Amino acid sequence: MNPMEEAQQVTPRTKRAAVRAGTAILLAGALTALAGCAGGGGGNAAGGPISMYTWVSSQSDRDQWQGFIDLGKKVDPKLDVTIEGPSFNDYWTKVKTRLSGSNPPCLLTTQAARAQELSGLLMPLTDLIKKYKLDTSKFDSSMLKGMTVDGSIRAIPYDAEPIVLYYNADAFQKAGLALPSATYTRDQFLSDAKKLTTADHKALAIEPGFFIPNAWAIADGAEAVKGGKLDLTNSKLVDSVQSYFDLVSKEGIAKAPEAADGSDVAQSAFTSGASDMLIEGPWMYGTFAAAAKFKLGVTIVPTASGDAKGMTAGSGFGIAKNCKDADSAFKAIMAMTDTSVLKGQAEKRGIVPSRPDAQSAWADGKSAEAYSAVQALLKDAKAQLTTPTWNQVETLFTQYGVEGYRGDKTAKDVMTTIQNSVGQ
Amino acid sequence: MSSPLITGAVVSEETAAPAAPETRPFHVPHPSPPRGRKKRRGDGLTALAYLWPGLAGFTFFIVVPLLGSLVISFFEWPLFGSPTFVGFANYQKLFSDPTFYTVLLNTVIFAFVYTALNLALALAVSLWLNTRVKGAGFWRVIFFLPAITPMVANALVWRLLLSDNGIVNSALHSIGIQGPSWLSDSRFALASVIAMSVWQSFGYNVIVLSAGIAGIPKELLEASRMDGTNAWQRMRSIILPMISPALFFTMTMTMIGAFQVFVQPQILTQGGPGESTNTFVLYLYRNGFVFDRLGYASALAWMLFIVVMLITALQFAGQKRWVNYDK
Repeated sequence: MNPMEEAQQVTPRTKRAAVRAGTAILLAGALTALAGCAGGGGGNAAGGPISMYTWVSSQSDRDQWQGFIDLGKKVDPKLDVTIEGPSFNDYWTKVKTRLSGSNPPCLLTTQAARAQELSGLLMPLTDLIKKYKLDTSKFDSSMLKGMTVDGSIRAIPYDAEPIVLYYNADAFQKAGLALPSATYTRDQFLSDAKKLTTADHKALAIEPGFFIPNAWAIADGAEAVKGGKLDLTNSKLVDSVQSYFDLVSKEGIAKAPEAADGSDVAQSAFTSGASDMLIEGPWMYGTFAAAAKFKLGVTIVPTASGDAKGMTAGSGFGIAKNCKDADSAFKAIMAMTDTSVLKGQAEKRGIVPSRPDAQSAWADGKSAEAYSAVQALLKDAKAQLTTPTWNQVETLFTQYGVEGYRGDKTAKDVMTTIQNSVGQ
Repeated sequence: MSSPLITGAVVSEETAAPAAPETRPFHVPHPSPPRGRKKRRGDGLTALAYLWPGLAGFTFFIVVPLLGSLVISFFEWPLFGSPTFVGFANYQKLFSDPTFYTVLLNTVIFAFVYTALNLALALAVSLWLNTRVKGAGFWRVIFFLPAITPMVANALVWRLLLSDNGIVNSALHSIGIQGPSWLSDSRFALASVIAMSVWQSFGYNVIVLSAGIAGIPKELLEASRMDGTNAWQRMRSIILPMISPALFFTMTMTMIGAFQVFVQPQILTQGGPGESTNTFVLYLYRNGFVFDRLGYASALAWMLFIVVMLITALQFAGQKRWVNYDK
């Protein structure tokens, strides 16, 4: 083949290759441009309103936060807070990544039980409390203790909700039982529950997880955390958890929860009348009252002596460690936790205010015995103290608790396994 | 080429096969791939131009995160805050963590039992669908439906079926049988998770194996029938060897998927009761995103990667003995 023939053969091939390459580059460019278009952008301008990152699972949540802002504006007209955040379940993971990202929010919310877990994110408020002379003695002491990490307060609580026992007053009266008041002994509780239990009907609905057994244990005077360390194997706690397991496996007054059940399963069982009693927080009062077709009763979590001994749960506002304008953020917190705001939120949203002088507002629209039970519990209340590894405790108790309720394992086995696993 | 209908001649398929294109004389050889440095480079650039979007995606979304997780596994790395270099401490901790062995064992049991049941069921259904069953296409769609339904939805439905007062136990109760706690009794929980998983995914393998069975030349099966073979002999000596590449593909992919099981235990049992249904990826996920231990989770991820690679390598090594690629 002479050079001319070779040139004639090669040139069209080279042209075709060039066309193919060009087409490929064009296609790839177009695809890349489309992919680029698909991505979103975002960001806040510097200064301006204070961004609050919190859980927003529903419109109801958004309304609650907006309620704090709207009422807070009456205290401080300059208050300018915006709300953003994921669902409650996602919040605890996403708050950490959100603070690692650009333009992080200044205000955060936390539950007292999660204050330890989020301690790396939350700024100690001791200096700001002093600077702005916030009188912390006006807040529920158990909640402040729950919000304290390494000796410094990390969030100012807006509610202080002692865990209560809800009951179906109609079922009690139908069975000829006296309605519990602000005192309720374990023996009386068991006696009542056995009378209410039949072959197809259990008196008590039980939720999975350690939250409620912990309230039961605190009512017994037991503690899961001592000196800031996890102490799940102390005999008092083990005995108390065993007595809670026994409600299912020995006394037969409740059905064992399944590990994957949400708390809604037990709550539905109670409001539908499939069970007559449920241990839960007072924040559920409005929901239960609306859903139940019976007279809703509220009493204390039963104790051996019958005297109220409460476990408080609640949430508060904190400041992100990397917030650049902590002063403005703290002023916003002060406005949103003012007595007038908490009173308004108690009336509107049904929270039990963290300021005792605002708690009377919670009584609006509720029965007198419900308010007296809450008051009695708050008089001798302890916070649900936790550790930074509390998530593991909750997760493992959900897994292993099932075996405890079924009687396959003792509380000692369960608590020892969890203590050892978390201690790994 | 003239039609037999026109000529009236009987033409077999072989003789009726199309001849070589008339445009090229028979003595002209097929064009060979271009040789020479210049031409190869041109094709390489073309190939690269087409490949780079995919390659970029593979690099940035697979290779870089893979290497990133390797780096993270040498740190104590919280979701917020500064990471601390700990060397091989996460790997040392992993080997002294009893839960690691439990979840590994659970996952291995799940993977092997699930894969075996999945393939056995998929093969049986494929064979049935390749008989002269009426509405084979309809049944194929029915069996495939769970595979295209979101796993979470499937798992939630199965939770309603298998809960203590669920549909299964209610049905058993109506005939006088006290059903067990399928999801709360450690003797039944893993079996329940496997059953749900097999139901959810065997439809995909039915499609693949059905295609393999449909591809077996009918002459081969007819000839074997004329030789007096029974159904089992045809299954063993013709069907299984002929669909062995499809079987190998489904087995490998099903096994790899099985090691990544997550949604089913998360929705059905939360890994309980105890650790009886806790699987590798569920444990990994919780360590990373619930317990805030990204370093430890990354070490777990690398162990899973190694285990899956080893098992896949064993499968590939073993295929020489039983997979037949001859046509």
